[in-house]
Amino acid sequence: MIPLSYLLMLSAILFTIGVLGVLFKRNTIVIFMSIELMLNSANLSFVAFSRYLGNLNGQVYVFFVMVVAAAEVAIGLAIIVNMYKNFKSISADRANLLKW
Amino acid sequence: MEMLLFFFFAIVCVISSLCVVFFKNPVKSAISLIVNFFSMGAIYIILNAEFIGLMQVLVYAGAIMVLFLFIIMLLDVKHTTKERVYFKNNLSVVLCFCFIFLAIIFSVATSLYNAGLMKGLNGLDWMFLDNSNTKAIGKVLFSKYLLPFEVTSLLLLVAAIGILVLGKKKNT
Repeated sequence: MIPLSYLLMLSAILFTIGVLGVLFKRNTIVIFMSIELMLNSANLSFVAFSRYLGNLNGQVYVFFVMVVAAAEVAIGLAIIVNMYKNFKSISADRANLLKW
Repeated sequence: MEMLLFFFFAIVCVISSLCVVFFKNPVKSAISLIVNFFSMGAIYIILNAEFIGLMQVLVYAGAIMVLFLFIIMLLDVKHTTKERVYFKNNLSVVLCFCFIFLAIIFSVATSLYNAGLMKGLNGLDWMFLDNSNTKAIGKVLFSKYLLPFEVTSLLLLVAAIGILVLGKKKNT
């Protein structure tokens, strides 16, 4: 049996890498991929807890998270396509209309 | 054996997610993200969550990544390879990583400690009660979580309409 702490550690590492990607990358598509990484790490800790508490609810939540992630990716990529139409670039620094 | 497999897939997971962040070419990032999803699915299967593992491979690696690759193919992304200035500074990246990682570990450890879950967590063999994980999940999903499941379909409908509205050509 794998200790719970190892799984949580892996989940935390993956989440941190995702946060780094969102913070430091400029390419909007890669930022979206990093968001997927973060969602996945949250899923991993859900499954780990569901395994160790002997409870199936965590896995059902993972199912819902996957549905939300699919919807979010579709909408986000449509927004990226619109952004490319407007700016001719997908750099996150070009979308600075709301910047103070 | 289980530990060995877990460590192998965990290392593959971490390396491929680092590749996602550090590759300059978004196509390479997408490919390493697919590797990451596959190894994540393998970890789910090691944890006896076969349904979630298969959904991971089908939905993420199958559907979502194809969408990503399509968008990368449709858009010309060669001009956006320049990174932010502080991304070149390795020290700031490492410091940021350590800070966020320690913050997560600290908060999770304190909440686990407060909930009294630090010890006495021994996994139950509930997966084998129903002799299949998928069957058990189906039973829970269609009884206890029936309403959220139906609301999920509404969410997907809203997403589809939103994409149509966003993708429509504006002829005003």
